[in-house]
Order: sequence, then C-alpha cells, then structure tokens
Amino acid sequence: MAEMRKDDERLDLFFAAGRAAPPEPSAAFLSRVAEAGLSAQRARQAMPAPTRRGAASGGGILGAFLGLFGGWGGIGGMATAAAAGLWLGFAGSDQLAQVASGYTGTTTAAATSEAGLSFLGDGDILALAAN
Amino acid sequence: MDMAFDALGEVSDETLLVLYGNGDEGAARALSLRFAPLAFRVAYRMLGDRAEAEDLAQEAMLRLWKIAPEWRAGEAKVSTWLYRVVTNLATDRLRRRRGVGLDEAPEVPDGAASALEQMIDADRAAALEAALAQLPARQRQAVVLRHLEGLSNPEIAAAMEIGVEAVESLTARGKRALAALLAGRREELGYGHG
Repeated sequence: MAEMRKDDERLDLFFAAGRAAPPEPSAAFLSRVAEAGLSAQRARQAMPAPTRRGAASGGGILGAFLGLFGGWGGIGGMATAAAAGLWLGFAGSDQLAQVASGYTGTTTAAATSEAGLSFLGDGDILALAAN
Repeated sequence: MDMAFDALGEVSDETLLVLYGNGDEGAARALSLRFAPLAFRVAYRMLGDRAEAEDLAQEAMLRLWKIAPEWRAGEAKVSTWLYRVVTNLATDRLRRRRGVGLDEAPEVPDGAASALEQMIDADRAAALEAALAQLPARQRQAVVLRHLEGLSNPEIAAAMEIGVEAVESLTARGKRALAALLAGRREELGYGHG
C-alpha cells in the first residue's frame, strides 16, 4: 500500500511534466478548423428562414396564411365559390339558366382566380359581399 | 454584429455556441481556439501520430459546428461532449489498426522499449509519452483523461460511456503499467530525488 502511494507520487511528477508540455496543434490546423466553422456558419446564415409555407409572394404571417388555402389560386377559388353563391341567391331563378351556362362554360374556374373573377365580369367581389 | 474577439475570452462555452449559432464570426474563432487544441491533444495522445490526430480533431470539430445551433443548454458540458466525440473517434481508429484489441498492449517496435530506457535528455514529458504509447488503448484513454486532462471520474465515465468503477479500474491498471515502464528511467530523470 505504501509502495503504491510512492508510485503514485512519482507518477505525479511525470503527469505534471506531461500537463506542462502538452502536444500543440499547428497554426495551419487551427486555421483550417476556424475556416470550417466559419463556412458552416455562413452556409447556415444564407439558408432561407424555415417559416414559409407554400406562398411564392413572401414569408411570415401572410405566407403562412396563404399556405393554408393553397396560395393565391386557392383564395381565388374560394372567393369565386362564395361570390357565386351570393350571385345565385341575389339574381333569382329567372337568371339561373344564364348563370348556369356561365359556370359550365368555364373549365377550371374554381381553381384559377383569374377565371373566377372574369366570370363575375367587372363586378367587385367586395361590393357583392356587401349586398 | 460580432462581439469583439477578445471580449469573448470570459464568455461561457454554451454562450459561445449560442453566439456561433446566431452567426457571430468572432464566436467561431473563439470556439476554435478554445476547443481545437483540446481535441488535438487527446487525439494525439491516443493515436501517437500528428497527421492522424489533426485529421481526427478536425472531424470532431466538424461535429461541434453541426450540433452548435441545436445545442440544448444545461444538459451537458460542451467539453465533456467533445471529449466523448474524440474518444469515440479515436477508439474507432484504434480498432481498425492492425486488429489490436482495445484492452491489449500494442506491439512495440524492436528497440522501442530500450529506447524508452535510454533517452538521453532527462525529459519526463517525452518519457511519459513513450510509456503511454505502450499501454492498452482503454487504459491510455482513462489515464490521459484523468491525469493529463484533469477530468473527474464521472466525467471520464461519461466521455468513455462506461461506469465509474470501470474508469477506476482502468486508471489503476494504467498507472501500475506506467510506473513499471518508467521505473528504469527513474534515477536518470531525477525521479528518485522527487
């Protein structure tokens, strides 16, 4: 036991010498490591923020909102359906045939905002909604 | 906006990681200076070859750069995490070397054992390095982390992913082997004079 303690004390001198003279990396190595860290950092900073959901027009809250409806096309489709419902109710049955032919005349009206809006002619959707 | 480089010397490891994740380039340099030498030191003491050690240390630091933005504060010390990565990478490399088991003493080239005894300069650090190279890898790992890196036994256990008792056993056996290897040089190195 005493011998082991002596050995430990002697070894401690070697360990102290080892700690005092650690192997040092080269300056070139340190530089390579720092460069790798900076590259990874810059690559990450250049990536777009992960908040955009399906909107080509922009990010943030608007992007997330549009993403829920499938973008502007989806909004247009909803607006078309809503406005058509209002129009049908407003126009009355004697104009129904005319409205129906307008519907069947368009193919993907519900999917494209442009076609949906043109069905309504120059009508302002907001004005319709207000009626 | 980057913090002034010399102002980062007092900043905690975890804060540096957060700054790094936020794009602070000074933090990238500070992290390199703080941790790359640690990774290299341990790698070199495990592998005994500078080029291999630099390669391994570079790999370990790459993993730090990757994990930095997702680092969860308070879970572990950054240094313990890095010790574990370096230890694992070194273990993998050593396993691939000539099929020597981690608990076997490596083959020593002819004359190396006597060269250890016959070193002309009284250089304890060099003698220790040569003696460490003759230990089985896991004993070497435990002794390096304990007596050269100053880790506590629980920290070594975390880095080597073994129990504390296993750490104590490895360090005890490693030190016995070192004492025996260094015995022949004791008088010449001023060892006997304490």
